[in-house]
Amino acid sequence: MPAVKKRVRPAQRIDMTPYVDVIMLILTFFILTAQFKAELSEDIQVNLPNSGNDTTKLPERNVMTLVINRFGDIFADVDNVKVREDVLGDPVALAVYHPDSTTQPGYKNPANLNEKGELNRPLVEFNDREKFKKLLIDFRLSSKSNVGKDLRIVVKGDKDADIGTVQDLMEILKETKNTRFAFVTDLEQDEKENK
Amino acid sequence: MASIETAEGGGERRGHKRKKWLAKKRIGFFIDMTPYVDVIMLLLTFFIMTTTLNQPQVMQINLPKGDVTEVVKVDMGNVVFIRVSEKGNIGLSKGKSDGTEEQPIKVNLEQMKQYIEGWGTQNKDMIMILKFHRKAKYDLMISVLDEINKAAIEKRYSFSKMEEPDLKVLEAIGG
Repeated sequence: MPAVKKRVRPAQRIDMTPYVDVIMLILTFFILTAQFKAELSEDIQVNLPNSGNDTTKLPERNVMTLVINRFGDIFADVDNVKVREDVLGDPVALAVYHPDSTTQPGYKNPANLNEKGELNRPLVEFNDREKFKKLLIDFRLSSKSNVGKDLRIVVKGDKDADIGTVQDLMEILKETKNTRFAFVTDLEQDEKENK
Repeated sequence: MASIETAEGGGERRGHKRKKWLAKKRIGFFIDMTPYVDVIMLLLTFFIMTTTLNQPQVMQINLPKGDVTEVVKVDMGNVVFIRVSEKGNIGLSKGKSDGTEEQPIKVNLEQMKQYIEGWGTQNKDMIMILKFHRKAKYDLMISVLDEINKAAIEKRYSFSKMEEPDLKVLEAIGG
């Protein structure tokens, strides 16, 4: 049966085009929604408190982050490298201020800051309240001239931070005419389940 | 055109007798997409892994503008004091029009919400004055603010410093 022998079996090919199309869509979705963690949040570890009904999302750009750790140190940072270099003289520097003179500052020991126990960014210490106030104003002015937009302020406090420190910071913010800011919180778990 | 010619040529080489419509058939070609898919899958995995779905929320706070020394006069009858002690006890007390205030009640967060909701619906001009002890934990402050935000009333509150008389009031509910 020569006719049968001559018959060539076609190679099995699966058309991958629709598969690739779908994967490309998913990939596009993830690329567009991806947000890379800010440098600061990795450097200074805080446990965020939970809250139930905050629906506003954390602003992404042009943010001044004020982190309060459990030792009562306040770290001030902006997300724009230019602004940082402009105000602190170093593109990666991080400003720190300990407002409460009755407690010991924790930032001197890197083991207090994060799990790794090392900080990759140089700390710029502020010991004077007026100087720290000036820093916050400088951040805003520099951001206005460099980016053209006003800074949005978020306060990231550790669960175990003293309210006193938070109140000190709120006073400083008020005195520097920063009357709009936001506390960063995690969504409460049981609230999620209720919904 | 080139592909049509190739098809014809191929047909002749094999020596088949082909009909005209068959001979014009274009030769299908495949691009091997496997490496392409591999790379895309890697990228996809990377983005899925790095995406943080649990994005932190923010609690918006607006402080009053104006001078710090400015004193705002309010009718004490509209005032509700919420005091938080060092131990984390919450004392709730209503002000009276003559400048004094009622006995503080010790409440938990859930009760606090119910009380201020009740008072807030009775008195639309209610103002809450929050006094936190400096050594109380920030977590509690967020919880209190959260409960106030959850309550179905007009939200008018201000932060105030805790002073000596406040500590005495708190002592009445166990410090």
